[in-house]
Amino acid sequence: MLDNMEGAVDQAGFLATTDTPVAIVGARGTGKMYIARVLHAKTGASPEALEVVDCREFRNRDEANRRIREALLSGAGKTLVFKSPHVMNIESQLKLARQIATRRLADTETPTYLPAVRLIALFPDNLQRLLLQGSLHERLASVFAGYPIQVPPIRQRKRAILRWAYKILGQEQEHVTGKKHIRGFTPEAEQVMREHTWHGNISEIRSRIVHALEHKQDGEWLTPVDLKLFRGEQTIITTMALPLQDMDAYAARHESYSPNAWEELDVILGDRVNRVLQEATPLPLGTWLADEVVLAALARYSGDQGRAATFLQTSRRNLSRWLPGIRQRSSARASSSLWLEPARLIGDWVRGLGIAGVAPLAQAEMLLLGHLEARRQDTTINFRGQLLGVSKPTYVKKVRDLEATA
Amino acid sequence: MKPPRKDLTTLAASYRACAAETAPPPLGFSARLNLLWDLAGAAPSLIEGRVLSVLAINPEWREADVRRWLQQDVLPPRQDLRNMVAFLVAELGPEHDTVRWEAFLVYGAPIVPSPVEHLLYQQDSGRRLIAARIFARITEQYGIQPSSYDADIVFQRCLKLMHQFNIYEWQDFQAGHMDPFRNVLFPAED
Repeated sequence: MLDNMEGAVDQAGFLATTDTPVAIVGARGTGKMYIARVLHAKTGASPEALEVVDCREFRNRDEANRRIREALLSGAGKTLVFKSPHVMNIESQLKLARQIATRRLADTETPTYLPAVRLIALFPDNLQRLLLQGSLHERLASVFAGYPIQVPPIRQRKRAILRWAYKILGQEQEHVTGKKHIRGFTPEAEQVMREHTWHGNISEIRSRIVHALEHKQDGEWLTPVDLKLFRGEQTIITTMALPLQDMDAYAARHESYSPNAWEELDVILGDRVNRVLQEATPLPLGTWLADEVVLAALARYSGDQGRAATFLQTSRRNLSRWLPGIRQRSSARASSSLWLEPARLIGDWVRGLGIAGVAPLAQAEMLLLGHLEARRQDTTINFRGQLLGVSKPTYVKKVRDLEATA
Repeated sequence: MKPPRKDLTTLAASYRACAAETAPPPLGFSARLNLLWDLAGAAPSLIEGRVLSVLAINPEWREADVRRWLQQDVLPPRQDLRNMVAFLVAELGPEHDTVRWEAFLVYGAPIVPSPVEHLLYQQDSGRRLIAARIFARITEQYGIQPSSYDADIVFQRCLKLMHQFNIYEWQDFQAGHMDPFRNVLFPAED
């Protein structure tokens, strides 16, 4: 077995024999979907009978209720996997909870039982914590709280890190064409992989290996430098502007704590602003940040520009207009060692975002602006505008807007 | 040193401060109760008429009450809960503990360690094979006589410890595991 995930695989196999709605709980990238597939496979159904209902994609209550109803009605013999149901509006959560608890369809004239469907929900955090945060309705938490499967972060199972790394290397080599065959990792790479905190979990292992394969020029073994785990590139500079700088130390003391992608992005952007100011190199952080958000949105929808534009809360025309510039800047972004981590974290953050709320580009810009303003004593407004990628008057206006929001 | 005892007025005020008028419904109670009914196999699933089957088992219960227990996280009266759990646990087998199941239904894991874990490993033949090899290696290396232990208890301890140490394959078991396993499998008082 590749990785039992601290018993999560066993638990999935066991729960597959029951009719219990199953919550799979774990931080981003831990492999919740993998566990859902294990559970589904144990039922003996075909892989096609697993249907994902991505609750982050519902724009409003009506759409949520309609899509859930359709999925339940056509669910006979299937496993329905509700991704992040806690991001739906409260009424839709309650309606889903009632249907699961009673196993009856809502809004029917005569009482109608649901078809024989297996129900799974993926949550990024402990159900109690989501309840306390107010995002998860108590009834929905309760129907999935029978025997939740906890998928632990990979740092809690160090021995599994290399197993996943080798498995992913094998899988990804097939996709990277025209490259020399990579035989494995150097002992130093294995060592740093064991020691790295992997807040992004298995997804982070995959993204580092993919990046290494794409950029490997020569040699048959991946090194810490290829994986961007060379210590010189990992150290975050200490500044007062980084309240979460001790995140790794905190995470080591509190094993259950795992920073989310937004928190990590916040820290890394603060660090990058700090480095740019120290080196006085005017990297266009704001432009790159926007580029990555757009690319991550396109990746989220497998290149579908219409859906990506909707997600970004802009027009498809705007998106098409931006793309040539984004592509033109791709080599500059890829060649900056400072940018790999923010790019990866933006991808993680965008993948986990709901579709409603403040536009992702605006959220990302506000985050960077906050860091730039935290260093206003050390730099000129012109330079800060340059880093954000806007003119001085626009920068001043954006700061005013930020202060008004605050 | 023990802190000085508070006077009764202070204690009464503390009690009033923390006393709630209604206890919140136990999160996941109905889901766990249904899980136990599933495992016991004593009634069909909810979509196949579980409520009516439960009523057939004990006609003294009322349909509305049974629905609340199975669907709305409402706790049955204490004696009804005890009787129901005792009945279902008897269907699971003699190694199951009624009181532990009852506590698990009300509070869930991790407050009450899951009584399901025992079932989890019952069917895992690969894991049981590794446990048997560990068991054999330790008894051989430390010269532990068969008359000095209860094999079933030691075997269950071994399965649990393997889970805690993330041992899923034979090569996961290292030389350094021998001592801790020996100490847990064969504690000094056994």
